[in-house]
Amino acid sequence: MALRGARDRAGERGQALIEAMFVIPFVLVLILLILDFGIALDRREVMVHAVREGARAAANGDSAAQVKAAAADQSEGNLSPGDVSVCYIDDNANGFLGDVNDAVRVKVNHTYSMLAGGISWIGVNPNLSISPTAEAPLLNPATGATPCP
Amino acid sequence: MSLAPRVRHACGSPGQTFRQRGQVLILFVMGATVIFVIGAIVVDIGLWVTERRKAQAAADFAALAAATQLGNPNPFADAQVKGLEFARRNGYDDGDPKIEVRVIPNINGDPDQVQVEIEEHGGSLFADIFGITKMDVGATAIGKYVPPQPGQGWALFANNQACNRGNPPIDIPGDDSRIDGATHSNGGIRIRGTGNVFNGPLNWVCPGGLDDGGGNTHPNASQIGRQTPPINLTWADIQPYCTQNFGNVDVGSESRLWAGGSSSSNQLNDNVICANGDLSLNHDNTQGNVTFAATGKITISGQDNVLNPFPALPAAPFGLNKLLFFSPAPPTVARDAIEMNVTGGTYRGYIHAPNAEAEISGKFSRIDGSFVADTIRVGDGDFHFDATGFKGPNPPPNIHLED
Repeated sequence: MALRGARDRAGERGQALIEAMFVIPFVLVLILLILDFGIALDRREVMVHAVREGARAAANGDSAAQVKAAAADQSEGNLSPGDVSVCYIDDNANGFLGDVNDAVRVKVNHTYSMLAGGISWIGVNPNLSISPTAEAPLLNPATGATPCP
Repeated sequence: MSLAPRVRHACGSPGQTFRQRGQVLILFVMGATVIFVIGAIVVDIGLWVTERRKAQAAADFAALAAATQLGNPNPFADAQVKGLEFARRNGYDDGDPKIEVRVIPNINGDPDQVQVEIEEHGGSLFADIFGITKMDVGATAIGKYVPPQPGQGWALFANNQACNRGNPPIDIPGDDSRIDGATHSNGGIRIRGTGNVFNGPLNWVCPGGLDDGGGNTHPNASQIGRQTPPINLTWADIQPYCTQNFGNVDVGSESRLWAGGSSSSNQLNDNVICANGDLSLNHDNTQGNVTFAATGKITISGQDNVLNPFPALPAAPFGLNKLLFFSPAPPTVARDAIEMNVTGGTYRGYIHAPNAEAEISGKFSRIDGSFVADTIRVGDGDFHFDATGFKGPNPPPNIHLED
């Protein structure tokens, strides 16, 4: 009896290793996906923060170049000024853009390429577009205002 | 210590092994449940914090926008509209049944403060399982309006709004004038002279509306929106206050207008001299507290005159108290409704031609006042304009968030 048990266990040697070979990749992919979505969510928060800081600067009448620089500065290195767009709305309908009581809209365009880029084969787009917008009232006049489309 | 019990346990009897079956499953279920609960809490709190930050940003912008309206004639209603509008633009539409946006004026009894509150009655992703079905998000911000302080007066204000005019509404061919005050054209500005110094804001409305030939100083120059003239009179506004009435009049030849009955006194009596026609003064060293008004052209020439407005004109309702020269003549009557060809001297008050050009030429005269006209031409040069104490552009109010 004891001899047969020993023989059975000897026959099961390596079984756990083979099981682990199947399971570990799935677990690793799962962890990677969780991490990846976590980073993507964090990136989204950073972009939202950057666009709000840009809008705050714009509300103070900073020029478009300054607004773009402010947003890029708050993006933890993920944005360049070219990724930020600034436009104005003639809220007070006086025919002039960029004076007090008009509105300014700041938008960033950012694409987060997921680390798990290979998952596109299961139908998930590995490039996430993150384009938050903020609108603020103009508290000081801005020069060189361009209208929003 | 003996190893026997462990060996016996490891190689225990089939009965003992059978009794331990399912133990790992129970541990796994318990562990997974704890991990899931922690994960759910983390995700839901994360979502809640994200929404809270979003709501706070929207409340901040809405409070600032609402505060911009507190200087309006109907501040609370306007603040309400503006606050709701900017909350909506930043993702919080009061029309959504899950969202409440409240704009509350007169905070702490201060009519210059407005509070915006945003509440979102949101659900949760996982906390529902534990009976937490609602996760409300709330944010509050207070906007403060500090009224603008008066800025520099307008030394030159041209109201003509044409952008493609041959001569822009403000045309300065002269040299070396100094303007201590604001300069504004509702059209464009051309400066062909050199050495002119603008010590106040230089503003125009038309795109590309500043044509500066160079050699002039204007550190604060920018295109801005259309402005309302500081004074905009009609003939009917001044007529009731005329103390001397004429058709066409040459002031120098009207003895009753002078002290001692003669212009040789160089002293004009205090009067509002009105001409239903043209009015002219061609005299040197004239002194007086007089206001000249004419339906036709006003022509002033001479050296070292010192003229102040008639002192008894009322400020309300038309702002007549600082009026020195006024002609509502249209260009069909006179291209220059007011023409000054003066050397030296001081002219204090509004020089007002709402429908045509006001022109000054000569040298070294001082204008302690404000040219307000349809168009303005400053020829020759070395003039000193000082608009201290006169109405000018209001700087924007100070709007900020209260802690």
